[in-house]
Amino acid sequence: MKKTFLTRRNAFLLSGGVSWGGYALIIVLLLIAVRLIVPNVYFHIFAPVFRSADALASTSHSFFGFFNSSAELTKANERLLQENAALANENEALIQKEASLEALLGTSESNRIITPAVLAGVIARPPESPYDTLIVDKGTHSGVVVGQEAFGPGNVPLGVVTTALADFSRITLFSAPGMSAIGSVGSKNIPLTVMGGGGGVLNASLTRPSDVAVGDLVFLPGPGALPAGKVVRIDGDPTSPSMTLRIQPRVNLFTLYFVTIRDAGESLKGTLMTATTTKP
Amino acid sequence: MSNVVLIISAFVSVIFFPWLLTAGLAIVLAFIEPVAVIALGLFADTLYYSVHAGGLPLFTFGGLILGGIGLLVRNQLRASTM
Repeated sequence: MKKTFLTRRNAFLLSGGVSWGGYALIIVLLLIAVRLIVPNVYFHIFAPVFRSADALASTSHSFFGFFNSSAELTKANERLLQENAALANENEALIQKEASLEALLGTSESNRIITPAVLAGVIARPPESPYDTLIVDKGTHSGVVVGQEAFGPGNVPLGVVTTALADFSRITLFSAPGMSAIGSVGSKNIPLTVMGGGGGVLNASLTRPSDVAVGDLVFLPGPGALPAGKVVRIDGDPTSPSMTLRIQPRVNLFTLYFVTIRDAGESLKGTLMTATTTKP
Repeated sequence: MSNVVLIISAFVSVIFFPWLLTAGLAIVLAFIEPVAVIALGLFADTLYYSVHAGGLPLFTFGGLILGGIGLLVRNQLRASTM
């Protein structure tokens, strides 16, 4: 006679003791405890691991880059040269403008407010840190406090310090889901609320008709308004009263090695939405 | 022994390799060591999750779902006719 057995073996146990999965779970639970109880020690342990992962990612990127088409690289090089020339011209124009304004308003070096900045090395970034956060190697010992703003190369606003440990800090990027800040777009400085879309993407909604085009710069608060991204696509039905701007950050978040952290003052705090958990 | 190698590979891939590879290993692991998949999800969120980012701990949820499916399938397969 056939007999049906319903074996319900405990997944945590082997015949001789705890299963390998059970051991893994115990170790991970211990790690969670370390992270929650002594987060600074936790980051001291994992910083070398993150750095090794970063080095490996850079090496593999270089290796695969070797196989890229030389024609594509030449095209990209030409495009970058053109952009560089355009930016140099724009820079010259701005220098001239600044000089004329200084002459007009009598601004001197002594009148300028210089906010001290902390230069921090990035330990983990997207995609290693998949939640649109950066982990940097400077903390409260170096003068970093929660609520300060982080800037990338070229003074590009990146995000806000949301956790400051003794030797490490976590920066939540403006592109993190749930993050929102009030900025402006285009040469006419049309106000808009920039929302984090995750994966390094920023979004914003505007009502039609708005004088915004692909390629317009999006500004976020810093000391003044600083370009944080560029409109790369405008989505939305032409009959709809609103449109969605897809904004690409000015810096590649996947290749950030250093950031500067400094107090952006009330200009930043005033523009972060109250619903955001990242409000300092 | 191969189970141990697979578990270690999955944990190493969380740190060093793209998440797609980790997801692939987690799917394989789900049918061999479902509890390890739950541990893997927790490990990924221990490394990277930030409560300030406002999102859900996706890796933990992913690990729980995949581990749950793995446990269910294993239990069904073990309910054998002898």
